[in-house]
Amino acid sequence: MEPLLEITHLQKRFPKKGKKLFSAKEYFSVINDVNLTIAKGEIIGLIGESGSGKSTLGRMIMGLTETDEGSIRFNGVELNTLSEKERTPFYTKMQMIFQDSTSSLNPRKTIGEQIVAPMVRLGVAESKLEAELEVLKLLERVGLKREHFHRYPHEFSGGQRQRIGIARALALKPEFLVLDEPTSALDVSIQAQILNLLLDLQEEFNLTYLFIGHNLSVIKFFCHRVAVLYKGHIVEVAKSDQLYSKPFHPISHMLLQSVLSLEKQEDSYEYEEVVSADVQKLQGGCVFSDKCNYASATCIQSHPSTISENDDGNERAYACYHPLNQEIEQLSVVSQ
Amino acid sequence: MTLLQVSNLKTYFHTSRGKVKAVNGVSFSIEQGEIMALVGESGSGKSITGLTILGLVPKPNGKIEGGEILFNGENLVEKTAKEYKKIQGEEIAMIFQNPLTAMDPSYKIGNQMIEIIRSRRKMTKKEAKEEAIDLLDLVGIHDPERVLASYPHALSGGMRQRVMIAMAISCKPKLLIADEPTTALDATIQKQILDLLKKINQELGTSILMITHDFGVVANLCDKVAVMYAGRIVEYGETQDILHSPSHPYTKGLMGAMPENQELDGGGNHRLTQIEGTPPDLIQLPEGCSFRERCDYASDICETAYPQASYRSGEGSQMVHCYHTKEVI
Repeated sequence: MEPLLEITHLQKRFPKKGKKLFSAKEYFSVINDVNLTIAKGEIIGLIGESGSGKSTLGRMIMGLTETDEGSIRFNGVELNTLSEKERTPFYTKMQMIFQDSTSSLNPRKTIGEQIVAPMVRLGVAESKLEAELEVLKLLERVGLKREHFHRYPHEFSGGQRQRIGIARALALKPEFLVLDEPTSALDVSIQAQILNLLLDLQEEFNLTYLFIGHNLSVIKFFCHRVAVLYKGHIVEVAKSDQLYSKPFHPISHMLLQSVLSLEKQEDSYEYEEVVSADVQKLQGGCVFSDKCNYASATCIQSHPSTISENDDGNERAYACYHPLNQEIEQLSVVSQ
Repeated sequence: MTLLQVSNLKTYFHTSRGKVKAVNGVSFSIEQGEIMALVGESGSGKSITGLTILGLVPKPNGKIEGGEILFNGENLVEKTAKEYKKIQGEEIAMIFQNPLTAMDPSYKIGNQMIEIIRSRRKMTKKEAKEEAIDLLDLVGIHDPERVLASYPHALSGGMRQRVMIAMAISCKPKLLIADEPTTALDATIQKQILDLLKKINQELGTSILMITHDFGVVANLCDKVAVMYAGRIVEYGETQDILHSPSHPYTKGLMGAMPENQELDGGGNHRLTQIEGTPPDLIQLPEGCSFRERCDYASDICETAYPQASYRSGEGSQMVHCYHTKEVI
């Protein structure tokens, strides 16, 4: 398949706070050597704990957070070297939908104005009138009413505001959407409506999605492929049904264990203490080695490189010295 | 032994547009050591039910218009604000969805915990600090000294929720009301907090009223469930019964809308069953059943009057307010 977005060796570091004015700055890396290719028309899920860098990655793709190193190519064009002006046309191709729909809307403008403004500014519509007619159609398409055009954001419920966010993103006729936890603030019944709407729109306009979420059941239902992020590293990428039926990486396994099933689990009374791990302590080694049950001496010394496997055209990649697909005997040999 | 018996509770809000019937005749009971769930969409009145039990109905618009709350045989509705003070915290405690807003950002955790402990029990500061350390230990914080010396903003979401739980159980309440304690947390932390609540329930014998919209939480934690819609309980029974055979169209719809509940092979090829429309305006509730406008089973009879409670197998079993229960099952 034709790749729409290619991310290679992406890095992002943030400076640590609380240092003296003239002392050397210390950094912690949020995104660490991330490689990801997204094909046209694909829905790819990005999962991980909070603080693993999911949202930062999404924002970097959109150009809302600057990149330190690495490249992001969209339709073959390198985005990182573009100036702000050269980048502008790409904002019509890529759009983002945020988790908190309230704070992403301007409370002092009607929703009509807010959707029309970028259409005129970025040249998607030739005149204001054309844009307004387009927006009215779009509002109906996302399940709102025409009369909502002249209302203000506070007049809407959470689910409706999320629909407005979707309409605003679609108004620019994008090819690629970053969905940053679009449903995690919503009730189950509203979540179902929004997810169904997003799937319908994906088919209708042949969109490509990057779905950032932490609800693994939603990801399983929604995405073709899933990437697991842990402390800025992509540790596993696989087709969603394969990942869910047989995770290779211990982190993926851990995440899947925490999914609440509807069957009452009698033996779920396990109590684990949370240890707040300091990223800086682990110099060079695998980021998960302090919590991992399978960790050996190799894991502490160096970070595993990503291994790609291709079986029956189903490619999956993982970065682990002791992946769970190996037989138990092999595992014990490795740890000796 | 029945710890809490709520019968026909009505909490209304008086606004310029009219009366908002947030809680409209709710009845349920919680036994000692039991965990009960209150499930529903936003705006269904589940949080207001919790606040009403604790005597925290938002003033000045909110008012209890009827019904009674029997806690250990005492009717809480008749209590004055002053009398309620002894019950709040000591007998019934509450934890909230967002612990950050429930804590004072300008005081260290230690100060806040010691203040709470000393306000209820006669203790020196030193004893109270030791008590606080014991409590933090109980909720699974492995370096209590450091946590006591830090400010709320310096802790992660999961840690904050643990501190919140430690504060809530500091006076050994008999009932803990948990208002969506895990909604803002990610999946791994959510599991840990649920395990912690289970541990508190087992070790201290605290009854828990769990307010949530997630059936996954219900299945893992709760003994009984009440499903709320538009200020009323529409279905009430044992967790297993309701999860396996929901008999109200709304319960069924909610469960169908959960991706967890779907045997789908992923990849976005399917759609979720969704409940069309939005909850009704609580000022002008429709005649008859309040769910009928969104219901697939609705018929003429649903418009006549709100359906009476019916039981699946005799009084005390799974209760449902619906005319079409037989078709739903």
